[in-house]
Amino acid sequence: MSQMKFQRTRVFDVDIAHPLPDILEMQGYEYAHILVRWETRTLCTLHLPCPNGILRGQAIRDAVATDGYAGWLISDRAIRRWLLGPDALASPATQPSWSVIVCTRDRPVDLRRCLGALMALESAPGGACGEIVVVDNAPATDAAERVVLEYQAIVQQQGKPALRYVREERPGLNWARACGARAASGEIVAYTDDDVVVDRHWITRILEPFADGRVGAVTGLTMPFEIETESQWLFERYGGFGRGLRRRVFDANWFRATDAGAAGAGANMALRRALVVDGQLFEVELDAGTVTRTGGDTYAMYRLLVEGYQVIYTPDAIVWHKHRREYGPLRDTLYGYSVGGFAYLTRCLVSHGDLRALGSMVTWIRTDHARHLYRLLRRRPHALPRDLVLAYWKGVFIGPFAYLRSRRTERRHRAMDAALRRTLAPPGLSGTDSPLQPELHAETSP
Amino acid sequence: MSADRAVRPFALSVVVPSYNRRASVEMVLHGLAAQRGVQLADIEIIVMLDGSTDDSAVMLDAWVRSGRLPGLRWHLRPNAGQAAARDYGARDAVADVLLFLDDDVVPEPDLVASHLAWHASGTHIAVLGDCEIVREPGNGWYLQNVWGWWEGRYASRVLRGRRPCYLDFCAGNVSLRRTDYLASGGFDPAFRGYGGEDYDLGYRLMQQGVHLVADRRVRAMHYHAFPGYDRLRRIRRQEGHADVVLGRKHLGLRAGLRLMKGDQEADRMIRVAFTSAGLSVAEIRTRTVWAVLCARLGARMRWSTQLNMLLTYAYWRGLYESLGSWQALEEFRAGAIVPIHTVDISGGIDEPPSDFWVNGPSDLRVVVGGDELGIVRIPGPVLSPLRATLADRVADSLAGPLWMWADRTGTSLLPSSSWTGATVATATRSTDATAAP
Repeated sequence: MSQMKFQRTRVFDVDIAHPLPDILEMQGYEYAHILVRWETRTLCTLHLPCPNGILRGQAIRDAVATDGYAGWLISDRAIRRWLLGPDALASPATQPSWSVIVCTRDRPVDLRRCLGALMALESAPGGACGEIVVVDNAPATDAAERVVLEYQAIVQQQGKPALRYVREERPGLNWARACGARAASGEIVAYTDDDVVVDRHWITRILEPFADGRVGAVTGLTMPFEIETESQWLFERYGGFGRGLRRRVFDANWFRATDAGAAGAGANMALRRALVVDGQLFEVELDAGTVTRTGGDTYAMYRLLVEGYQVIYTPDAIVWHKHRREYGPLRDTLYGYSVGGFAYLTRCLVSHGDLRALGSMVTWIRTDHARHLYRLLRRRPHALPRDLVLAYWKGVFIGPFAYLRSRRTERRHRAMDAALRRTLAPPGLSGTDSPLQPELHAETSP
Repeated sequence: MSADRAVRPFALSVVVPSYNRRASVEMVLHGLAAQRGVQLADIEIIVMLDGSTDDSAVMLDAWVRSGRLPGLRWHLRPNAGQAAARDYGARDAVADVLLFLDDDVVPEPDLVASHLAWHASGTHIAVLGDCEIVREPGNGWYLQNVWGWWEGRYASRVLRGRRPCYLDFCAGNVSLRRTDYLASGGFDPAFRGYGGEDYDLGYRLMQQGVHLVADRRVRAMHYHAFPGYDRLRRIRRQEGHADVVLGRKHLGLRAGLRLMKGDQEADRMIRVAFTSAGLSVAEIRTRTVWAVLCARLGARMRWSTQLNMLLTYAYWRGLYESLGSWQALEEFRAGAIVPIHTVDISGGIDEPPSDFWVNGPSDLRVVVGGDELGIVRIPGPVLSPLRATLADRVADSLAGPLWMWADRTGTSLLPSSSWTGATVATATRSTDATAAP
């Protein structure tokens, strides 16, 4: 089988508003994966070879010049900038208040890197200064709390967003997301993961579309942080997190809501807090911490779409995701996406009676799973390794059962919780006032 | 039948036209009774029953007797349409400031005070408030779409660089000085059905120099319900009639009306609307059944298409009923006046003159450095920030000529720093982010 060989790739971005060198040193790298921007907004991505460890600036220029869409964008933006002045593409004057929520669990190294980038976030001029809420989800150690305490010292400096630590003892990513939204004070809650490094302008860009009240959620471009190992390289070849470089508006009137996964992922998304809290968008039967592994973010976007809100994908809101370096976690990741995706679609089918979920299942298998299987069977150079493809397919069959099992487990937990409350709560005290409740969330203020 | 006319000077008169909506009007009255920051005795409330046959009158009598709203009066008149009802009420009002509310628009507690605060300056303005559609989980698709449409309109009219135009003048929650209203001639009773009368008044007010001001804090809640497919079609047909009346009245607005452009997706429905009535009835029934089925099966996209087809048909059927033939429609279209403005973009795009906002549709002759680049068509009133919209149109339609002009004259459209120099901007994804604090 003539599979493609791993190519170590350097990932970086260039902004055409800034000078570009004639020669870029790329020792040890065979390829360069470049995000090209103009005045911080995305233009295109390039994947260029680096012969002899050198990448010439002219090669980047030529590649941009031959990219038709990038050329059109440059022309469009140049004309608008020339006609309206430098602030032609500026953000709206009024920016809603915001909270960034980082859900973490025993990954202090990743969290430290993530917070480092969040500390450098820039708000729009005149925009509200927001806050960062770190939700520590059923941690085994207090490492995350110590990292937050370190950074809280920096927060004292003027202009830095406030940093808070919240603990959610119930294990599960969606428990953590919901807990973060309840603890947050911003009108908009922007979610990112602890293995992500956000762009300096991320919050400004992801808030822009919320000027329109119809917008319920905004997602952005998730780029690879590095491609240093075969596992990371394979993940990018599988498709990575990329959702393209064109802004898209998702609206249930012209988009099948069950395909909400096309809008983006939880590592780079923002939602209106009121909708998250009042609508209980994060379903605890889904996502990490349950046997479904993923799908909670997609389900939240599905719920927004069927409620008549729009979901916007904007490639200008950029984060850099550090894919797992090891091969084993990669297999688990692909399996998890497949299980979670089908668990989510089963949820749409079973709980909402949404028959379109069947169509989405068929489409997904046909366009994605079958494609990988076909490449593998035909021994195409772009084929993924067999164990990855099999893990991906396994998720198709496990996903629906995983959801049903997760639902059963969650119902049993709820029943036990209710029984415990009834036993412990004094007469006349309602469930929400139960003395158990405060123990579930602990917070340390800066 | 009406209560005795109040003689005390009111600060503001509220005019509420209604037709057979007893419960809804009562909610409006409750909303008015809960106003803050203003004495209830300073508010005159005139409910115009436009031929109502339900027990609205009994309910209103009970309210008047209760004395909860000291300035409440009501009139029952033969059905003549919303425009006539509003006009009668406005001319009967005594306060300096008029506030028009629809009978399903329930004011928020600060509504009256917010309107009065705007008018305290004494300038000639009309204050456009929001009528926020009440959203609840589980709302049907129709209500979701109506909410989305209005939300988009309300959000757009307060954008930086955007001035409200006559299409933003919606009589559901708007206030203006009584003298301005009377000077404009008021609502035109020629608009008997749904729609058109507020755009007409907004246009005339702008022509006489009244500025439209949009403020999202001036808020009322709009209790809207799905009226059913038959009533929706009737409303859309009346909009077709109203557009003809509007176009006949104001030649300058004709070019911006929906009838000037077709609807590619529903071209067939437009043809059907202007041909056989028998075929129309059969097709409409089929599509209505299909829409109901799609709604039952959860097929939203197909439902949207069917609804669009039905409403397109209804609108063009309304045009057909008003104009009589395709030939007449073509003549009507040919009568549209499209003024041509010249815009010199040599120094960028400046804020256009205010008459651009008043008159809406215009063709733009774009000139740069003495050379004409071409003509940009503005297909209707601009409902987004105008400078940005004009820049979009130039970038879309005249990019080629503009780059050729730049090339010929040696003008650089790109900032000079682009792609030169010696350092790469790895910018935000810097490795510093991994450093400890």
